[in-house]
Amino acid sequence: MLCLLILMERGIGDKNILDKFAEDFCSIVEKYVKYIVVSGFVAISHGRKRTTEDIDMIIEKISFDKFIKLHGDLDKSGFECMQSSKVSEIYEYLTSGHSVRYVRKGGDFLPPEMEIKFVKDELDEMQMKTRRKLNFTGLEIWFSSIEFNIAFKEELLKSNKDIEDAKHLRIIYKDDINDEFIEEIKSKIRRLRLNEG
Amino acid sequence: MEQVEKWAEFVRNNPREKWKKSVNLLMEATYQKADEFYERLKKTEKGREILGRLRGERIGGRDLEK
Repeated sequence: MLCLLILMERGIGDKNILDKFAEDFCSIVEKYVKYIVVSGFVAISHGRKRTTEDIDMIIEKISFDKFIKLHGDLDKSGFECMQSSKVSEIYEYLTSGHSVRYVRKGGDFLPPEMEIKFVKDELDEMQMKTRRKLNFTGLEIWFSSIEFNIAFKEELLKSNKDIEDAKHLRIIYKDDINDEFIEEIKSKIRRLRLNEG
Repeated sequence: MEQVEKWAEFVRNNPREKWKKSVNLLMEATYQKADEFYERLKKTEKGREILGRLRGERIGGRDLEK
């Protein structure tokens, strides 16, 4: 009995709380719009032992009518937006280039949380087109490609944590990653996000 | 940064028991995810090769295969 209580507390039995949160959320989003999960959660899903409070998601731009349906489904399924409960305000955040965060209802806005942004440029569109499911993660989630994750971490984000994440992914996918593609992405990052050349 | 500030504010304004539980759940989930990942790797030849590479990178670290 004690064991069962511990398992329930940890969210074990089927999935841990992070995976359950991510898969539940993604399964709803997928009904309405194409999405990708990027950055820290990708690294953590490949065995990096570090924490994250939010999961980063990029979604295609959708109409307000479609977003009303998506938000309504998330609401019905037990998620709430931290910035606002008004769907028009949430949509305005997204269209103005900001992110919005969703958490489970009744949790005092505590993590985990899903941070959502609209696709913003050619790079994001390319990430979306090359999205993939990553078998090693054991998750039914669409991720941005390993090449994209490595390129962003090495060229744009560059914190110690990000460099270590990129190194970790390079070791795991040593035989599979396309270095030319990584360089192409880095070049686009310099042009589109760092305003170089 | 906004996220860090929000969390720091929550910790400051709430009793330790409240935020500690949330932190513990996240930490445990992260470690559990990692353990599950390495268990999945052990199941295939390619996965075992990757484990060998990861081990090789960990100078003086723990054995990831345990």
